[in-house]
Amino acid sequence: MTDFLRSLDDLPVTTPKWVGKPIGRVEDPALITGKAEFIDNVTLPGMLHCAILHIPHAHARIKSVDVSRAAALHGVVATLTGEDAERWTRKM
Amino acid sequence: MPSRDVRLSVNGVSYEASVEPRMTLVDMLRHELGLTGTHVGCEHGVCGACTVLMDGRAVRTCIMLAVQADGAELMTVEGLAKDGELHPIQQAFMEERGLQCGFCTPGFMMSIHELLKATPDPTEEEVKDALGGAICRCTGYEAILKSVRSAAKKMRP
Repeated sequence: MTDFLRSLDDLPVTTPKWVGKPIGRVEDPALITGKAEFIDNVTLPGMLHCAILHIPHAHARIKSVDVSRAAALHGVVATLTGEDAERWTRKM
Repeated sequence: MPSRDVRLSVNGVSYEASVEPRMTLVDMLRHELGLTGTHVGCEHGVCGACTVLMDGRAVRTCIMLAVQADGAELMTVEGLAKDGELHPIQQAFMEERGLQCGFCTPGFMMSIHELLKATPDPTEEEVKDALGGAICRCTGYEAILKSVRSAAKKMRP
């Protein structure tokens, strides 16, 4: 039936480059010398920082959020609440 | 907020910076001095990613203030390799696959540096005790322990 392949000796012989060999990780030199760049290292022009305030009560119903004092703080660019999230996202 | 002058040496280089008294040492290293090899993981002293050597002792720089390090000699991950030659601890981590994502690795290596300087041939228990302050979330602990054994062997005369 398989007269085109008579024995294993008929298979082509190659020198495997990767199979069965330990491969050194290309990312390691940067990671172990402290040169690897993580997201936390990235600084972009005009980059802002955000702080998340979690509700201090477990299993509570949020009736309203008053951000006026936070928004008035020096250097604050924006305050975002669940209402903003609702406005900007599609309802599930 | 009033600033304080902090003078310290990192990896043999002298630095001087004017920082807010509330600034943590790791923020000074990363943001003021640009040494971003020291990482911030948990920000409250439990993960060990921010570990550096201060006057030879391993310290967690996220729960230390920069002003507390005034006058100190620090060593960070950037100071391990010398003239492009990897430190035996770094070589061991590469050879033994002691890292995956590499985020925790600098902190681990600094803790190991402190351990092997004081204890060149540590027992398994001593290694585990020394690494108790560092967390690896890729869960590569077995490979890290192998790396320590290999590094200890390389560093013994």
